[in-house]
Amino acid sequence: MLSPGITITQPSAVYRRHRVDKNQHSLAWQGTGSMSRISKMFGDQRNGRINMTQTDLPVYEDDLFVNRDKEIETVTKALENIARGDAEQVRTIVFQGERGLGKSWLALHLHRSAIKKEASTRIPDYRIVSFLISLTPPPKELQVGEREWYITSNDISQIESGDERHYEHLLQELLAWIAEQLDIVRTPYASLRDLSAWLAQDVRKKLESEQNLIICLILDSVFEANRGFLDYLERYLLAAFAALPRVLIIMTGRGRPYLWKSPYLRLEREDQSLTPFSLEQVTKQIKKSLQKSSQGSPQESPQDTLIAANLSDEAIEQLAKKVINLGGGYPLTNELLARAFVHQVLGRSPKSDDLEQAINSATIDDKVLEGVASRLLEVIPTQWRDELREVLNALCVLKDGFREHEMPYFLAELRDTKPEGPEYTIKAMRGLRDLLLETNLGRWQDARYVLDEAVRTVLEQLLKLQKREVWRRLHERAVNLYEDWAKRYPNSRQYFEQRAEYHRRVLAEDVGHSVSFA
Amino acid sequence: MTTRDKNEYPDEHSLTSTDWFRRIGLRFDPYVHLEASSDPHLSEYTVNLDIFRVALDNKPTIIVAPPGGGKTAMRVAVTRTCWFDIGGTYPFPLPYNLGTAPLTGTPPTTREHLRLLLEAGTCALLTGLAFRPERLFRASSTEIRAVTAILRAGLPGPLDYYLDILRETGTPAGLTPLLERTYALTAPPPPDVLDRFCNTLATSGTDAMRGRMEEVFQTFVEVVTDALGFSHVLLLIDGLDAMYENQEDSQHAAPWAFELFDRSETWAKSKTFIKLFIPDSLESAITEYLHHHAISTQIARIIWNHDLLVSMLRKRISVASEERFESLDAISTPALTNIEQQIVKNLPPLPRIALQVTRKAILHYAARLNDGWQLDEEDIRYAIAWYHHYATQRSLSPPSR
Repeated sequence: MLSPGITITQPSAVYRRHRVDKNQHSLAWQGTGSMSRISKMFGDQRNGRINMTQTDLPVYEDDLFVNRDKEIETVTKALENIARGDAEQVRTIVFQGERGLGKSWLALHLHRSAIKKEASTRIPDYRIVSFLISLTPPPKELQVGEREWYITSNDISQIESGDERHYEHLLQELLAWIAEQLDIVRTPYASLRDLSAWLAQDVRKKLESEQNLIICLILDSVFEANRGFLDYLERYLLAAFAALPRVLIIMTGRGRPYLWKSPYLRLEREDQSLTPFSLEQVTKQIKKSLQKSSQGSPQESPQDTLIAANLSDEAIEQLAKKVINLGGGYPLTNELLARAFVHQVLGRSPKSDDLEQAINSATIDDKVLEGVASRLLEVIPTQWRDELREVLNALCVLKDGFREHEMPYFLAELRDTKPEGPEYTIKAMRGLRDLLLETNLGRWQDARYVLDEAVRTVLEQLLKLQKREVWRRLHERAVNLYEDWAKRYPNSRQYFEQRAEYHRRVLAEDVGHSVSFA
Repeated sequence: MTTRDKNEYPDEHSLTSTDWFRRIGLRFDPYVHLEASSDPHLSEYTVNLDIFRVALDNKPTIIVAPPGGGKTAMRVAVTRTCWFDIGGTYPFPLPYNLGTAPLTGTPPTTREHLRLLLEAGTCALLTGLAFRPERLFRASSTEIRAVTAILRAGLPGPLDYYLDILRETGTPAGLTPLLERTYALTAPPPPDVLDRFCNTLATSGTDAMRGRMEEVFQTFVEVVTDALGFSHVLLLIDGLDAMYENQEDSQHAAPWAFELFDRSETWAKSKTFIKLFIPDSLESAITEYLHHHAISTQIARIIWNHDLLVSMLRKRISVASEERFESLDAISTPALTNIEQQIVKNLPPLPRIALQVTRKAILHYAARLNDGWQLDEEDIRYAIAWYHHYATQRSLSPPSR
């Protein structure tokens, strides 16, 4: 039986709402075409262009997943403690991380594989029912799985409009869907408030009657969602679940965190920051990815992918080093850079023998890096993208972060002008800051704003590659500004001197010797 | 050092307070409410999480803090978070203010305590259910009759009178000042749902429950935990220090709590837990009594130090800015770093004073917003000088009761 929220609108069978319930395994997303992501990605490269679209990205597959043993262990331990009924329980786990750090993949992996494999082995007497609730739409080629609920782009637009009626409507659907998955039958026409009150009571009763049941709610991309909607989500769903005895809530999110009001979402919580991959992990990721690419159908898999898949371990490690140097080890960036890099090299020397040597000696094409940057910045709404791209370019040299009074100097330097006039007022800077924070590509951390490190790293590398003089000027601007402020503000001298020193070091490393600035 | 009283308020520049705070990136003034119960955001910026945890758990507890040390704030925060959702398994917060007990010169008897607790409990329950009527709607008709009977038994006035107020005002907020001020909850139901709530109670056709006070109060607890789905009852007892004018005399207030603790083990068996909020001056008298009578109770102390005060000031900024930033550093000139640290290191470690002084700095900044745009050293100097000037002459506002 279809759940109430699912309607089939076209013969091509693309569901309006992307979810599959317990009876509908693997029904969704059949109408997205058959061209493989590999051939699409490489098609444009053959014409000398990198055109990375949404379909370029690999979608989650269990055997492509790399790393995150620590995070899986955290979840497994929490489930074990819940099963044991420990007094000190973690009821909520939050995984935070930058753009492309693999949060959505982790959420999917926990839901589809890790909880089944790890937790069910360690607490075999318990039935763990997990739900994946994604507050970001699924990639086009993702086969939506059992007990997975995805928000749609249309939902997001309506939520962004701030219309609370839409929050209510969407949550009504979500609550009804969860109730159905748990075999709790309620009238579909109940108001959200009624539904929430009934669900809280019915799930409690279900947990009382099924003593071996553990419910695990996995919410993906939480902090990126509209704050008004999160208030509703907490009030009508999460707060009630968080108070129940055998429920674990797992969240992933990027950017500024959300302050939950429910005590159980605040007190019995563990926060973990995901970290970029190590060299070994990037190597493994690239190897798996290239091998997977070569397993496509003969028509769709170009000869190149076979060559790439047969690269030696040493060559892949060399490639991984280059990828880390350019992108910092973030899985999404790793994937995009590695594939693009291999095919940049293949485009120039397509023979297998030469490939490894070519990889070792080649430098990345700025078009490849531009493609990666564009992909990373797709999370910025189109109407803000150009404006924010300029701001990000100006600030990307500030690895240690910035405050609002620093912004005009770097924007002006990028534009090769003076920070004067209405464009450079603090009011204007606060407007830009707010845009940046809205996209969750910046956040307040340790007394300063910091850019999303995955994005910052790529943008700085790109700026250095494309406009070295501008990149140098921005660092020089930083040295001069912080040296000046260290003199002017004696109470903060050490603070500014440390920052000046960092930029002096960057410039010195770039030219290979120490330099001094006026 | 300058003290410019003429520039204290942003209104002088024709900006409303809300407008002005928006201009610096805050949704509201996070330092304006010195009286905890009037602050709608209080439960969002709790920093003392260990105390918060024991204030909610199912164990008898004494929570100790100095005057102005955040006892009332903690009690209010606990109350509101318990009612944040619509119908979950949260504790039921029963605020019992001993400061409102009749002053007869002797401590209340057990029966008097129970009568006062029942009154406080039903006031809280009616107000809470008016905000969350769905808890009542999901109860069976028998359970609804039990709720009505207990409300009629405990409320200080006729139930129908309060239902009329609800119908007339169209909002549960109409009951809050009459019955329980800390129950200023958010997300009230639509008027038609509130009307249905009033009709449900009015037509359940039940008289007030009668019987021994002990039995009636026990029934109240059962209604709350069984019929309405709360996990346990928290007796949030406060105001013990409000009955006497000075600290020396306040020692005499300790016996007012003894009767309550004599019952704590019996109550614990029926999911009812004492959470007594007292000033540090009463701690030894009460703990000595408990020790002497072998009454098991956990003791938690709210201890404010400079680091915790910094966290408190920052948490408020974080909530007010929707987590965009969590320090006034974000809106200050390069001359200032670690502003909250700079403020609190010059003050005694009490949240009320830290809030007042920080607000003073912001108002000073507001007064010259059009000239400057960023908070600077002068604003901080001004606020600290203000504190030292007035603190030496007269104490700041007394702690809330």
